[in-house]
Amino acid sequence: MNPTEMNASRPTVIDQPSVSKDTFVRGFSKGLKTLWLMSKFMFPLIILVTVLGKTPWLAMLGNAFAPILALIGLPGEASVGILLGMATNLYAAIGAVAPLNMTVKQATIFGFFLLISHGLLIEGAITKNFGAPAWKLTGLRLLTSFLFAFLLNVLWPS
Amino acid sequence: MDISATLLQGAQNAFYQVGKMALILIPIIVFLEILRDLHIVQQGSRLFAPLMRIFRLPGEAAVPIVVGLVFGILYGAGVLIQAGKDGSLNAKEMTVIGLFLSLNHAIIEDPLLFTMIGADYLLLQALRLVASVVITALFAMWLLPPLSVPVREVAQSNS
Repeated sequence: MNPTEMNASRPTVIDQPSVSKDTFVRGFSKGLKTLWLMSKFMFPLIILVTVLGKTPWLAMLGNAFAPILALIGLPGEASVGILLGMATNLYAAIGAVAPLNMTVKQATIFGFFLLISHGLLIEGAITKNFGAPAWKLTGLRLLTSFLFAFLLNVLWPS
Repeated sequence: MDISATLLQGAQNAFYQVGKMALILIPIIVFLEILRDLHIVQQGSRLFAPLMRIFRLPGEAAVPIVVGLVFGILYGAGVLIQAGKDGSLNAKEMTVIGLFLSLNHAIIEDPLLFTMIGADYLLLQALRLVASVVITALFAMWLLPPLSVPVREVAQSNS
């Protein structure tokens, strides 16, 4: 069916397409409301995460998690990067592993894991608006990260 | 650790992030209102409707997904919340879209960061796309009714 036929078969649109001042006012006020809704979650969390990044707690946790990371082919030293990335953001994670000189395989597994599971505190707060409890979606992210990182490690010949 | 300096840095971070969000989010929502009033979104989402079937979602779901993939989860979420309020998507559909966007967003910026430590960009994003589509499709099969019956009618007859 060509576009002309499609248009012919469609009933006449009563509500003519048009943009007015009202469009901009409505968009701006919707934008501001959404911004406010999100700032309420984000503002305190960003401060908390910044403070957390300055403490040695994340590094201590990293040592404990090293054996788990061996399952997905990552060196123990990468655990700090993984935890920083999961708790804060990708920039912190990359900063933490930049001195490690990982292989292409290790760097790709590391990148894949964090592309799926990063910024879990802040993005978890955002996912509260998605209709399901945030911990469920966050749990599914972690599961997906582990499952596919494990497969990548097993299937990629070193 | 200097607590007050750290708190100040945190507050600066927060202001910066919220400001950056305002600069991107508000124009996007205004832009989407323009698209909506010009009826472009309704037409455009038809192109993606066949793809949305993978997730048992109506064509309208393409809009928050495309915005989230390009601009990031925050902006996709903004559009998604709006669609929820408009009533064009129900809570379960929002959850499926939310899962997909949780797994896969900001596809331009994020994977590029990892090339700095030697990761393979194309492999990273391809694998992320496959993983997110597979997991979201499985989740949708579990959560949403099949699309052969129009989703909207099923939702109404159940309520």
